Amino acid sequence: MRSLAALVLLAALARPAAAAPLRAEGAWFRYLLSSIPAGGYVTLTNPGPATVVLTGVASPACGSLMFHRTDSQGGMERMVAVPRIRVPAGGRFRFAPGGYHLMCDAPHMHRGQTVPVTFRLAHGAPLVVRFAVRGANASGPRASAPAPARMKSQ
Amino acid sequence: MSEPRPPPARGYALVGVLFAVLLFAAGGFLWLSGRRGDLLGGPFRLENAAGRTVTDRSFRGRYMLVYFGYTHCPDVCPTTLANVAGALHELGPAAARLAAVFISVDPARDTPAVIGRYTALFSKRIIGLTGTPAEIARVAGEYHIYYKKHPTGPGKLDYSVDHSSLLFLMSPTGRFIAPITASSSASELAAALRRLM
Repeated sequence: MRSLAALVLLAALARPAAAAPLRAEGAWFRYLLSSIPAGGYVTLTNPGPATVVLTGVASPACGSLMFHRTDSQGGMERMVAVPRIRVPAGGRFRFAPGGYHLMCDAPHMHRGQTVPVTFRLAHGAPLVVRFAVRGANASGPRASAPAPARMKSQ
Repeated sequence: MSEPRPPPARGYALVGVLFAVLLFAAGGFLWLSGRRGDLLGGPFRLENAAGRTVTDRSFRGRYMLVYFGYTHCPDVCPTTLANVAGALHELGPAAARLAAVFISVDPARDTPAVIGRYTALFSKRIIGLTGTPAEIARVAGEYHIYYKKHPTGPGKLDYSVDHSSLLFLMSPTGRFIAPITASSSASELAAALRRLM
């Protein structure tokens, strides 16, 4: 808990001396009940010339937060924890329904709120992204999401 | 200039051939669907959100869309249920002919009260069912659903459940009609249901 607080403080102090290495878009949690995990989704874009490696993730709104992937094979779904995420140079990484997602255990948040999520980077200052908290039938961060929820085809 | 019309005899022959093909296809479909009806599904006895016993016969007279999952599933199950809720909305009045049923493969955590609160978040029309481990094993077996606990931590309740993720459409008499891919969007799901119901 203390390391989390330190991390959040560090993130708050880490004013962008240099441009942030990643850009985050469309960040949202599907919040259901406080007793069950909430799935988080976001698209991270890396405009820089080097791969950015994410080594972990944390949020004061989650008991624990992890990178996860839904592994889908022949109609079988399996959740797999993923230790690190690589956002390629000049490319992007999508956490999207049916694929990679953030698994927020013991969520304490409520719909309509935004909550901070801190991504730890292998090199450089952590990245803090605000996630919109949406309800069961949401398909994106805004109420008028243009496209219906569609899982990433595997 | 329009093309010259085919002579009438050729036209009739073409219609005849098309008719024969259609008849053959329809026959094949009926034969196959008749046979398929026995391949999947079967009697079950489960509990609804109110803790009352519900069986497969409770849904006779309505089509039944069956999906197996669990409430602690953070990604695929809620995405699928959100799309089922969206499809029910798109179907409008036709949705009254359909019972959308969510059966838990995690009876230890998904009590009737939990599954009821969960499905109601998506749609009041989605019926959440759970049961004893033996009841769940039986109905999962009938639908050829594989499910297995997968530990994620040291605690007794730290696990996810690997499971088959497919939607099944059953007829008003309880026969299997078709599987529908769980990754369908709400509109794709509504279109598939319109076609099959």
